[in-house]
Amino acid sequence: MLTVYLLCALYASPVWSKVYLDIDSPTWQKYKIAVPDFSNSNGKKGTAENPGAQLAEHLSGLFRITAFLNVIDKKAYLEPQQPDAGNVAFADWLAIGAEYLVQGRFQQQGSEFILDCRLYDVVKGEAIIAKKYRGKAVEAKAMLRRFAGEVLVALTGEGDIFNTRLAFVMKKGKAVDILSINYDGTDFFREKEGKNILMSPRWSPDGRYLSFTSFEQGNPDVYIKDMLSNTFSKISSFPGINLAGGWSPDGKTVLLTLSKDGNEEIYKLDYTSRSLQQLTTTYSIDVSPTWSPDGNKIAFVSNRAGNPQIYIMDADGNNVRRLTWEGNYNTSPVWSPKGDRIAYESRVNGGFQICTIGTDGDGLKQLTTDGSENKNPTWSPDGRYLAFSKSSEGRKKIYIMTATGGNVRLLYEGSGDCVSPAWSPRFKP
Amino acid sequence: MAMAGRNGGGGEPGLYGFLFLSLLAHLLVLSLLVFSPALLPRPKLTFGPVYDVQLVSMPESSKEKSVGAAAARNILEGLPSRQPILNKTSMDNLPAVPIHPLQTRKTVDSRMVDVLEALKKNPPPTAPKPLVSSSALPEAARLKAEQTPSPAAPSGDAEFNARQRSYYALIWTRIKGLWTIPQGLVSQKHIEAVVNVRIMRDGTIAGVDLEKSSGNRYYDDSVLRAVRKANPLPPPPGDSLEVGINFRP
Repeated sequence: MLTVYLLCALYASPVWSKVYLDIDSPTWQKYKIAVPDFSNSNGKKGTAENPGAQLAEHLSGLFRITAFLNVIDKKAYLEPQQPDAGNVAFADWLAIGAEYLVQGRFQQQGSEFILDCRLYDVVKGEAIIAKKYRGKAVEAKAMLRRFAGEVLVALTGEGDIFNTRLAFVMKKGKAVDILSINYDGTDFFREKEGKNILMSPRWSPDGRYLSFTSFEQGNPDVYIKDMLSNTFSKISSFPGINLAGGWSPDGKTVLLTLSKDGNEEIYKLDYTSRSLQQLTTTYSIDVSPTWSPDGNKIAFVSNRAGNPQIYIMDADGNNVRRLTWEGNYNTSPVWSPKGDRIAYESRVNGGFQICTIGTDGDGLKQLTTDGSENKNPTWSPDGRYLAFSKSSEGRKKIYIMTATGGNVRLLYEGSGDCVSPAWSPRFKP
Repeated sequence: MAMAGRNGGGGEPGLYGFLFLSLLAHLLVLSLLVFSPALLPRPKLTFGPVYDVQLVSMPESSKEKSVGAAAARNILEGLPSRQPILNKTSMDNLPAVPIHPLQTRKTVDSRMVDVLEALKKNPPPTAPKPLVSSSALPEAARLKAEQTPSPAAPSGDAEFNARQRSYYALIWTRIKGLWTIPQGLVSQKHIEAVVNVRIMRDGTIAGVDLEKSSGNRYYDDSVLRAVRKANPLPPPPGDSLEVGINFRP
């Protein structure tokens, strides 16, 4: 036993130190993903319209509007399109710099359309997602939206917002409409048309209702559109101003700005019981309320300090504290679904810019910097993007950017001024 | 007495038993003392960008300038000149300096004789030699994975270390160039992931493991991907190599 012990002692680890290198400063760039044409499982070579290419192109478009994926140009692809399942020549894709690869196959079996999509990690050489969708051929785009959402979640942890819509107001001359459009710019729909002023559309948390203010009966009243039944109902028509504010996260309460008691104050309206509770009672103008995602706090605009600034209070109206101290005109607050930041518009040097600030008052960031008017921010349901109205070439248009101000892209431009966008929650696909 | 002895050697652990236990206990304590330093955290040598600096002297050329003055000084002072006088022609071709020792000036003569003898003793260096040393120096100064052995460079262990350092520099540059990550996935500034890379003799990466996670799954993925993209690396100096890498944004 002693010999065993001594042998063990001799084998004790030598005290040598391993060399460590320090690497810093990565290159900040989007993931490089390749999306070759989808292949037809039926074996038939593409017809003149080449549906495989169309499917791949639509999916590439979905990837491009996120701020995380960079689709490699088809001209660079080495591998002939398309091999069969099983062996993917990863070396060919690595050679052109792809980090991820999507391969899709589709086939029409009678009246059923089947779409088979896979996401590969090219560097590791393995599949990450493999999904099969069945439905009708017209649902192909909805299937691709679903798959794109899965890819985003797999690669970035969240970001499945392909099934969201944006509602906004378009003014052209005397006509004012509330329009809605898909996040990817498709499926344009006129939710409400009118000849009078329409303002501030807001979605309910389940996406079933759209609240807005309308002057159609002479007085600014708050209406709700039931998206399922396509019907409208009036929920607030007190004397004076009735403005639609945010919905509570549980969908039971709507915030309103009413001036029935003398000046504009913020009220809470229980949607089912129609009971009203007043939250602010000062002599100043208190408008534009928005809920925190946990339902405990409300941010709003007040001019009690002399000019419009943003304040935060508890959901019952107590503990009011001022949030913004920079700038002399800060309005349109919206609370991020992540709960930590509030976006708003601020007048800077005569123009309006979108800014975000931490809910504790720190970390003020100005996101837009050009001289035009950037107003009415609204957050995406995952808190990663902001949609806003921006004036460009003499018209107001709807733009989308990331929560840090990057990747600004045009969502919609119409023949009139598009303002006041509101981002819907995620719809069931 | 005898009984006590017998009892001691009986069924219970007796004298020998306790001796053995005592020996074990001593060995345990000794081993703890001797080997505990091995258990302490090993000092980490961190390498940033590596610059190989070699102090190189050019003995022949530097002495070339001073030789004439030194020799003159030495002659005047009466000391024999130790420094070789550079001469492109061999000594054999030099015309013999006729020296006639004068009786009246013995000391001078002896100095002249000494100088001549010193010249004869130290053969002047041949012409090609300075060329060899000057060409080897710029090569040594360049960071190459394969270093040609130069006569001016130090030999053996130090040379291997220099090759290793330049190899580290090479893989540092390569992996850093391949490290990419989309913006928006990492929110903190002070985040760090440490990986352990095992490189085989031919340069193929045998494996890469995450030694310390950053806490952010996408950050960890990006550093592992950077190393995998760098495969295959050039062969390391010597046998297989294991190296750690700290990734900080």
